[in-house]
Amino acid sequence: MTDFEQKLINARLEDPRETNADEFLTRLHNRISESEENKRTVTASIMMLIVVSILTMTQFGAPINEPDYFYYTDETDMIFETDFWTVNNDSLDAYESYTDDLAYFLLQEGNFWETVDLLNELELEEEITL
Amino acid sequence: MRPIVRNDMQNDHDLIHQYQNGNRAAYDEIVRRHISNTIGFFYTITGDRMAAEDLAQDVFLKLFSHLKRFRFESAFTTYLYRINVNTANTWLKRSKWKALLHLDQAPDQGERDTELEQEWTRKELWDAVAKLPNKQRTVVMMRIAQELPYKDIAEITGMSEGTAKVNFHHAVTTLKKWLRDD
Repeated sequence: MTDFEQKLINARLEDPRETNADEFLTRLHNRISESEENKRTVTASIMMLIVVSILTMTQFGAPINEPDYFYYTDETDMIFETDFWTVNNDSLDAYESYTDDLAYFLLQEGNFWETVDLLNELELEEEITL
Repeated sequence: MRPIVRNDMQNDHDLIHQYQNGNRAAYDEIVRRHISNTIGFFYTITGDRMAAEDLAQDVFLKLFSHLKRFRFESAFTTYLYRINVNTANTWLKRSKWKALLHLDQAPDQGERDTELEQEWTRKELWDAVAKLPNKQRTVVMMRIAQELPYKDIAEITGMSEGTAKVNFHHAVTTLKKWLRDD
């Protein structure tokens, strides 16, 4: 063994204090309890996550393919002369629906007086036709 | 720390058997038997009593769960040394990073041993050990902190006695250079 190796070994520190085993064990048991508690919490969290994931995937038990619960609107009726299947329809047949939509749109946009004007105009037009 | 004591092996194994059969008191007895050596080992490395006790707690906490799967293929002390060395390795690496990032609030410069007329302190020594490659660091820890013979080091680390000697020799040469010890 060289001098340097001996120096390294001599650099060891001897612990001057006697270890209190009881105190050490009490602390250790507390840490073990904490560790077991943490393990339980993690396991419970993972289980909960799995359950929630399964419930989410199955939409919390909501029945699948139940058309009765849904209301479908077929808006293709409104779009005339734009698609092959409505190309031969006359937009004038749906004139009332068109003007209603226009009135709703103006109201939504906050153009109240314009809406009133439109409705008056429509009424006047109807009277002229009669 | 004492070299591996073979005649304690049987008793340790008996206690582990009891612990594996659900006797928690047997675990306490195992801790009582090895507490001083374990804290002593960490005290040599850290130079801080509190840190040494915390690391020893970590070791016994690991033992609490791992002992249930102990296979009685080697002496318990060999197993314990292995956990000690791994824990110390982790601590040294962490302290190396802390020093690098200046996270250690009050740098302990250690006390110079005037009797030995050393130019380096215990802290400087262990900071240097922390920078060694893993195998060399492990061998140095066991030689310096535990004064284990190469035969035991070989058994604990799974390397041959010759490899352990070579690693120690390389480590000492490097440490000598780093600590500028002539």
